[in-house]
Amino acid sequence: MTETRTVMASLDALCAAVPGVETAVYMDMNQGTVLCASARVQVPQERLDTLCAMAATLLGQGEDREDEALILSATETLLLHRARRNAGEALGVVCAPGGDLANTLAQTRETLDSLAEAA
Amino acid sequence: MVLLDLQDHATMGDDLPLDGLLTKLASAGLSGPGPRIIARLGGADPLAAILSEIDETVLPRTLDFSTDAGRRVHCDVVGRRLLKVSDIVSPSPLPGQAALLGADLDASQGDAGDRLRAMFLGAMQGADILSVEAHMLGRDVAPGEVGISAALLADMWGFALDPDPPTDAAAVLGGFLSAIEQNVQAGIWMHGEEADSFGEEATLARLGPPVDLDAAAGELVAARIDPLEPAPLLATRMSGGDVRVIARFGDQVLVLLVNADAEADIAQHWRCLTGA
Repeated sequence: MTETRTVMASLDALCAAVPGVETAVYMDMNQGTVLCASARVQVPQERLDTLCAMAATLLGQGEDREDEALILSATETLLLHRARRNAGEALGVVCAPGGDLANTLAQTRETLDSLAEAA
Repeated sequence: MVLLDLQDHATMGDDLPLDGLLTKLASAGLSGPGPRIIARLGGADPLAAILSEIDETVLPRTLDFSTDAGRRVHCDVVGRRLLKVSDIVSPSPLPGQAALLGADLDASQGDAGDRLRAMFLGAMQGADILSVEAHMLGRDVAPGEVGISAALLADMWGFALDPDPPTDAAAVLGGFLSAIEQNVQAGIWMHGEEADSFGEEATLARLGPPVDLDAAAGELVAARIDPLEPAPLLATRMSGGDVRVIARFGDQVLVLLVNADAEADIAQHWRCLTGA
């Protein structure tokens, strides 16, 4: 429970600190489930399920797995980062277009670092 | 924009130096990060360009329209509808500014369309360039905020919204490649059954298994955010730190190996060029 609160607080802090971040999700890619989510707007469950599936597909599970993925669409940017403390977990961040993506990437990586240290 | 002729090097596996390939792309425009130019004097009608931007905005956004004459009009937009003009920066008041600024818009206001048209035309007065930058809407949309759809404004102003995206794929991808050239190590440009590759063979090999158009397009389908549209750009960081980028425009696809930590720069250039 304490760990969940730590992750939740980190996601809330990420959403609050970085302009343009609309949703931050911590996922278990093996189970395909969202462990924690922080969002400025209500996010439908099917949307969260889609993020989990995308993280599992794009970050992969094999030896040549990727650690990060960045996806652009017309209306948003999605960042997926494999967790440092558990390779089966991932952090997903949905941002508005037009924001400072370099800052968002840096803050997202810092969040992953802090979660790894807290584990 | 001019469609580029790559036929001279149009067999799978042909290698070109990147600068050689880019020389062929002289017609493709470069864009930097920041506001995106949507209309120039003598080019696209600025009102049509504004409506097109609103019509392409589905999620809650503030569209910051700015001119080189120093005027800015901030519009709150969601679901292809203009909710309100939330801010105006202008040396002198724009036509109808007092009535429009901060007011909730809806189609039942008979003169709203005319007021908006006059206000936007006033903002463009003396300007040669109109740009736009989208930001997240910094507030909740109230249930009663209905706004006016871009389609209705287009009817009022006598425009037809263009449903077709730009189709000059070679020029768009060429402009993208030129803009990020300093970060590109190797790549493959696929168009139809053909492909041009550039970079050293060993570096190209790091792009993974034999790359073909279907495989690259399949990765973009797996990365789609919009259920109906494949992602236009996917960047994945590989174990060595370098980044593999797949970018699609129309029927052409680029697969690139780019330097570590270049994702943000690359994404910014892509948005500037395509608006996506």
